[in-house]
Amino acid sequence: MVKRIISGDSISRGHFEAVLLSAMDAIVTIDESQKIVFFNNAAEIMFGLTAADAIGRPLIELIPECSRDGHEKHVQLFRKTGVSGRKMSALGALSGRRSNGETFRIEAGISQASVDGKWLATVILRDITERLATEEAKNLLAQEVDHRAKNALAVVHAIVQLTAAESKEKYIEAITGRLDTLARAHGVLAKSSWTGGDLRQILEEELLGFQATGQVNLIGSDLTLSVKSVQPLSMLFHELATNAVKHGALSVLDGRVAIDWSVNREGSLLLRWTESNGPSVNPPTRRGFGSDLIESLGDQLHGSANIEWLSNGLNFWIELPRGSFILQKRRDNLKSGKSHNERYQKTPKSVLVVEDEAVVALVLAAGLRSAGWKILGPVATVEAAYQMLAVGAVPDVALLDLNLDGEPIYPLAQVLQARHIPFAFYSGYSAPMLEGRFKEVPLIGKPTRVHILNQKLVELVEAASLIATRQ
Amino acid sequence: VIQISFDSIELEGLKIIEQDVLTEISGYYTQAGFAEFLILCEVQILKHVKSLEGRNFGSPLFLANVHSMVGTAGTIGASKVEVIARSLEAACEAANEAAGNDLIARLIAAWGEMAQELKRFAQFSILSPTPSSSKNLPADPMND
Repeated sequence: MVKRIISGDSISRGHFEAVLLSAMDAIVTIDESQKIVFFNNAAEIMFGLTAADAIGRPLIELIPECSRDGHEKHVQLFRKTGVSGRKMSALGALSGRRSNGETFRIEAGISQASVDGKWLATVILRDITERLATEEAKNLLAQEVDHRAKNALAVVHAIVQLTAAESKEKYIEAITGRLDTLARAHGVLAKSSWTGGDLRQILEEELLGFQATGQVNLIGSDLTLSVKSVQPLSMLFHELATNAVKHGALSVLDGRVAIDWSVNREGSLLLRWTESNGPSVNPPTRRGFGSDLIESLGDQLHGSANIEWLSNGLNFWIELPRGSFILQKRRDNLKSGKSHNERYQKTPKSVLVVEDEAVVALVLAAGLRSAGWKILGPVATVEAAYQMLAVGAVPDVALLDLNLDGEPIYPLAQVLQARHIPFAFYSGYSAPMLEGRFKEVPLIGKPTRVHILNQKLVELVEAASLIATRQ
Repeated sequence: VIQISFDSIELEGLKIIEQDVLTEISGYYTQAGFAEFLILCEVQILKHVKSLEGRNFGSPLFLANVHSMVGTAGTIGASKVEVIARSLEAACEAANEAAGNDLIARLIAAWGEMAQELKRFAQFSILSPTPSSSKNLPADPMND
């Protein structure tokens, strides 16, 4: 049974029905005693109060106690002005109060009319809590992007200034290596949404290849370096590895590098780089970027560092204070025996949705969000997707409309492929011809119900995760 | 005090849209969000109809628009509209204008019917919450 109760007798059912159907905002009408005479659906949801309960109550009960002073007077003054309507922002930031006592930010406008000689004022309200939070998040993000870009540029500046080489070619080689490391550090941070970086992963990426030959051995528990530590330590490992390849243990086949780390009783992280079986070592005769970096690193990270050029190989250690890392719990998710959905719903995975048809995009976003996904986008153009990736978004998987306003999605697909981000094409074409390099990419026919899409995306993420584990 | 009752509002059988698909979609949204979604669907339908009325049969943009219609219709459960849109897409690709003109007329009519059904569904789902959308209400003030 559907009922509405109103005071007065001049509103036709048709009018009332139309208002109810069209109003997305809360609408509250009061009489001259400032008591509620009309309370629509959206108002019920906003204030957590049924119309039956609200009608007859003073409007002031919808306002937090701390903002009630003078409110009735404001309404009376508004009545005296005789203007038909105005925004209520003149009262400053406005808040509403739900029936459970919770307060929330609103935007409101008030209008007045006389109906059969009775004065009525109608307030139209919108809950802007979410909008304010989004604006705040946007501002923070903008500031953060600016801050990080400046930091990265400062490091690039230092690398360019301090790198010395005997020839142009060697200069380019040295600069390129250092900038690549910087980019990798940035990638590691972006992948963790700037929460830190996995120490083992950083070392593995820097020493890729040497581990496979058995020349490098990594020993230590899983731990995450703090955001501030990732970049300088990545640069450090790059300098140590480059030195080892050129002059140290990794310059000969029998050479070995042992990298071990542990947390001592004081809670500090002690990391050691020990080279052995390499050519005999002599301390460098001149200082370079690497020496400067190693020397400054202890201060920069509020720890201490030391390097020894022993005859049997270079020994380096660094001690970092607690706060520069977090010990991780064992990552045994894949061995837990839980179902796919259980695993992926507990840790929300992100999906980049690229779709140019508004209705389809909305259904995909809403449906996948309700299935537990974090939605990146939806975006309607390849350019918009690039921008998301450029500011550090690293989706776990992507769903790509094959054709965006007549343009194929392949350039974006290529970028995702290069970044090892799994994706599926989503297309309304019955049998589209995929480019050869995308033959293995799953093609999901449009339309497909969201629960099926969800399952396919989960499978893609799981497959990518298994491949990463094996590697 | 006037009591207005909408007891008589019932959702008659939908002919174009599959009700279970729309009901599933309504479950993804709050009540207000779903109402906004339905409004957007109507706006998209108007755009599609306008594009069809333009009858720029041979243009790539027209073809791209018709292809979009396949996705829109299918996603919200209007498989009959989807079928006509797919046929029109095939006629465009085959440059069969005679068949295309007939399909355009049928598709415009189908979009019109679909818009009407969406309106009825909106009325039904907003005034008489289904189990999926009523979960978003703090209480069930409709059933007092």
